[in-house]
Amino acid sequence: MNLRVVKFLFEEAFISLRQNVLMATIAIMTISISLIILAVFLLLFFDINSAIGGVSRNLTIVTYLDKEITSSGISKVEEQFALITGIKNVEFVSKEDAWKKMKDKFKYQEDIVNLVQGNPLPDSFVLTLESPDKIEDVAKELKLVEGVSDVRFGKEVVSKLRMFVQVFNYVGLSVVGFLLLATLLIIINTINLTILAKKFEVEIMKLVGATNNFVKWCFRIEGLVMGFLGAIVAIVIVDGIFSFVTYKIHMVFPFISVFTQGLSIITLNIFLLCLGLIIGLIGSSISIKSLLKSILKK
Amino acid sequence: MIRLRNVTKTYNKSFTVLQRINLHISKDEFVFLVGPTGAGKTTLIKLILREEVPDSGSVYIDKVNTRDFNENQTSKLRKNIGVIFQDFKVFNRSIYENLAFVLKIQGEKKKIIKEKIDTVISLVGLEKKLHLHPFQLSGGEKQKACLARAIINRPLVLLADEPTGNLDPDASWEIMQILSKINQQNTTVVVATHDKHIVDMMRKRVIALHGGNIIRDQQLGKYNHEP
Ligand SMILES: Nc1ncnc2c1ncn2[C@@H]1O[C@H](COP(=O)(O)OP(=O)(O)OP(=O)(O)O)[C@@H](O)[C@H]1O
Ligand SMILES: [Mg+2]
Repeated sequence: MNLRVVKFLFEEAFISLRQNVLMATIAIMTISISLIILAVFLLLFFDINSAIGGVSRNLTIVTYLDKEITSSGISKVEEQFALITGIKNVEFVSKEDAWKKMKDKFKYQEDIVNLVQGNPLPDSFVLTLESPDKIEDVAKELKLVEGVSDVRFGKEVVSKLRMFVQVFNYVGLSVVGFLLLATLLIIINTINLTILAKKFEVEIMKLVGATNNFVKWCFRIEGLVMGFLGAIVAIVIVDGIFSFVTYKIHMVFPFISVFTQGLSIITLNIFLLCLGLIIGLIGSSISIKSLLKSILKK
Repeated sequence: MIRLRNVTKTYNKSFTVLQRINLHISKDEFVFLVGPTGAGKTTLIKLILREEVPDSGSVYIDKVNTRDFNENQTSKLRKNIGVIFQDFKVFNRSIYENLAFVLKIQGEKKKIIKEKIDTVISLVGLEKKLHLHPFQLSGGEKQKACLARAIINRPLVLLADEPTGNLDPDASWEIMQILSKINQQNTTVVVATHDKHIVDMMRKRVIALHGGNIIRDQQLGKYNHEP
């Protein structure tokens, strides 16, 4: 097959799409809508997952020590901590440092600070974990260490977030799956109708020397073109939504960065394009298989 | 050019249309295929075109047995066999586009497409209608367009299945003249027809089919038995 034939196949695909504008438009729009929903889901998916990842990674456990602990008691506690697995980093915060930090934080509300007599804060250790999954087990062990008075970490936050993400992922994935399936069915149907409408033309094509492969590629390329156009529409809309939303969020919360850690928009665009083409190709191939059998017997 | 050896063709395994047919048509010939309806004229043409395959026996085109042709060989064969029908099979596009389609499938260059179209369109005398669509043409003009398309690849063989079936006598006669011209340019022509008048006027070889057999094969023949 030479390049002119390929060009001709594309011309024919566009002619055919123009002959069935309404049907083609519906198919293309269906592809677009599915891809847009998929894209929005993916953006949220990656952003939320990376945000959760960030939260979990930065999750620390603060262990407060007994008020009356001696410096030898403190080093004993530290030795004990070294025996517990899963701890990545141990940082000692003396009560003086903690008090200084506190005063710093409230330096514009000195009255409040001045109300407090002496230093009410205990010594503490701030622990970073190797993985956020074992946070509860580690916390339990820490509580048993002599000299530790209290252990604090964002327990509920972590487990609730994780649950939410899991539900979100499952629901989102199945919705996207069903949408893609529906899109595929619509493409199959569209190409089916086109083939039926072109039965007579296929007969002529065969008559004047077109191979079965040529006829098949005619319809495949039609599917590909629909997938391509659907993807392009989706990409334009998704990119529009994307820049609008990031712009708006940036206006309101200048310090929050959305959609940055997760999926790059270029990767997303390429993915959408590929998916559009794949849906178009698979859809048309399936309908060709079932329908052309009767038309292209020899 | 065309040779059939002991060709038997049945439909649905039981209904025998052609029975042990032997036939030879050489390169420069112009042949009429006649016989009552259902005699198997169209079937014979389909066998030559390899749209149907014989149950037994072989069909040779240009000395090549087409029996075991695969899809690619068949499509190559079709480039060497032009064919026209009673119901003009044309795309709902201009004559030019209909003709160009055949060549574009083959990946021909624009310049060559134009040249070839110019040649065949003047042969059938449709220069002025080149950019009209089928609904703007008379039956005779449509058939001429089909003829032009059938010979655009300079085929070895031209098959015509009742080419004048839908035409008035004048248009029929014109089509016959064009077929004759094509035959003179070294293309074997086979015409299946019911048109007694035309067969009698043309005085060509006539092959008569009846009951699955060739009952008559005459040079300078007539539609009916000569007494
Ligand atoms: N695809 C098919 N399946 C079954 N039977 C068929 C098929 N094609 C043709 N026949 C039968 O074969 C016989 C010969 O058909 P054919 O079309 O060759 O006749 P014909 O000589 O061209 O007739 P006509 O002059 O009416 O065109 C007919 O009885 C027809 O019903
Ligand atoms: Mg017939």
